[in-house]
Amino acid sequence: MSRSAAKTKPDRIELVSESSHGSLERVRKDTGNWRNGVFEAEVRDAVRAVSFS
Amino acid sequence: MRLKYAVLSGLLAFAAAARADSATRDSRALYDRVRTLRNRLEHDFVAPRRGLLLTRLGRGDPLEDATLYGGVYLGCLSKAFEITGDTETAALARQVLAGLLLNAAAVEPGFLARGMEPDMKTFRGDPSVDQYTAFFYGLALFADSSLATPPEQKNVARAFRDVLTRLRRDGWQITRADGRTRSTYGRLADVRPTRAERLLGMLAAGAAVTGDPLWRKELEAATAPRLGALRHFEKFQSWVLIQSALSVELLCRWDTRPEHLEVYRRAGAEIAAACLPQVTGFDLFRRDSRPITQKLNDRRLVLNGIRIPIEAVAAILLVGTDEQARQVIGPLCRMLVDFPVASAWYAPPLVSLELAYWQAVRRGLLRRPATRATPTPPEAQ
Repeated sequence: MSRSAAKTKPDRIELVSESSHGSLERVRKDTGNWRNGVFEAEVRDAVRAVSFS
Repeated sequence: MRLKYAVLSGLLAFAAAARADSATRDSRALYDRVRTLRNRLEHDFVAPRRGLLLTRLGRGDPLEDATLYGGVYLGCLSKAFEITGDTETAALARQVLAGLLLNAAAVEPGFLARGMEPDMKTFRGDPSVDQYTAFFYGLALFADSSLATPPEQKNVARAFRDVLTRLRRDGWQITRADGRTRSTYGRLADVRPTRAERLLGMLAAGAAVTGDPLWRKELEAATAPRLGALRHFEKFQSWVLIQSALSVELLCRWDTRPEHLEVYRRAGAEIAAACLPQVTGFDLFRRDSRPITQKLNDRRLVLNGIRIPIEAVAAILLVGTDEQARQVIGPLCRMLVDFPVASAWYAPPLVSLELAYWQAVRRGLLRRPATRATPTPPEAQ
C-alpha cells in the first residue's frame, strides 16, 4: 500500500490498496479460461461428473 | 454447441438433484441456515463502530469493497425487513446504513470512499463504478422501505444529492478524492461495458428518493443514448452481472414508462440467461474432496466454485423471468445447505447468498419463514 497526499479535508489520508488496482486482472487470472460465459475445462469436467453421478 | 448443451444438461441435472433432496427444501431448515449466515455476517464482517462491511478477514484488504458489498447488504436487509419486520434486521440495516453514509461524507460530501480505517481519517480511495452502483441500490431500497423514518429518508436524499451533484460536475465520470483525476474504474459516462444501466439506475433512484426534478430531467436526457446498449451481457461473469442486475432492478422500480420497462425487463432476462450456465460452478466446490480449510485457501476455487455461482443465482433471482428464477431454486437450496458459513473469510458470497434467499421468498418461490414478528394466527394454533 502507498500513501498519497491529504485530500479535501486536511487531516484525511488516502491509503491506496494495491489489490484494488489489480482486482480486475486478479479476477481474470483466477477464473482462468473463460470464453462465452463458461469456464471451459472445469465446467466440462463438472458437468460430466454431475451427469453420470 | 456441444459444450453449451453439456452445460445446460449439467444445470438441469444439478437442479433436479437439488429438487429431489426434500430436506434442503424444508423452509425451517433453510431459514435456520440463513440465520447462521446472518449471524456470521453481523458478528464477524460488520465492523461494530463504523458499520462498514469488511469483505475479507485476514486475507487481503478488508476495506477494498466495503461500499460495494455494504450497499448490496443494505438492499438485502431492507428486503428482509419487508418480509419479517423484525427488530434485529432493522438494527443491522441501520448499522450498515451508517457505514455507507460515513464512506459518503468522511472525505468530501459526494465522494464515496471505499472504506474508512478505525482512525476515521485514513480512507481507501480510487472508487469504482461498482462502489457507486451498490451504494445507490442499498440506500434507495432502504429509503423506499417501511424501515426508513422521515429523518433517515432525508439523510439518504442528502447523500444522493451530494453524490449526483459531484458526478454531474465531473461530466458523469467518477473522480478521485482530488476531484480532478478520473478513478481507475470510473468511466461511468461510457455506455459499455455494462455502464449504461449503472448511470440510469443511479439517476432513477436519485430522482425518486430526492424528489428533485433535476435528476428526472437528467435521467430523461441520459436514457435515449443508453437504452440500446442494455444488451450483450453474455460476455460477463456474474460478479459483474449482479451489479447490472442491481441497476436494472432500480430501473424497473422507478422508471416505469412502458416503452422503457420493456427494455429493462428484456435486459434482466438477458442478464439471467448469461448467469444460468455459471450456476454450475458450485459443483466444482462440492466435488472437491480436500479439507474445507484447503478448499477455502484455493482462491481460484473460491471464485469459480463459490462466488461466481452464488452471485449468478442472486442475479437471476433479482431480474430473471419467473421461469429462469424457478430454475435456480434447487441450486439455491443446495448452496444454503452446503456453503461453509463458519469457515468463510470472504463476504461477497455470504451477502449474495442471503440476498438470493430473501429475493426467492419475495418472488414466492420459497416459503416465507415464520418469525416472532409474524406470530401464528390463533385459528392455526
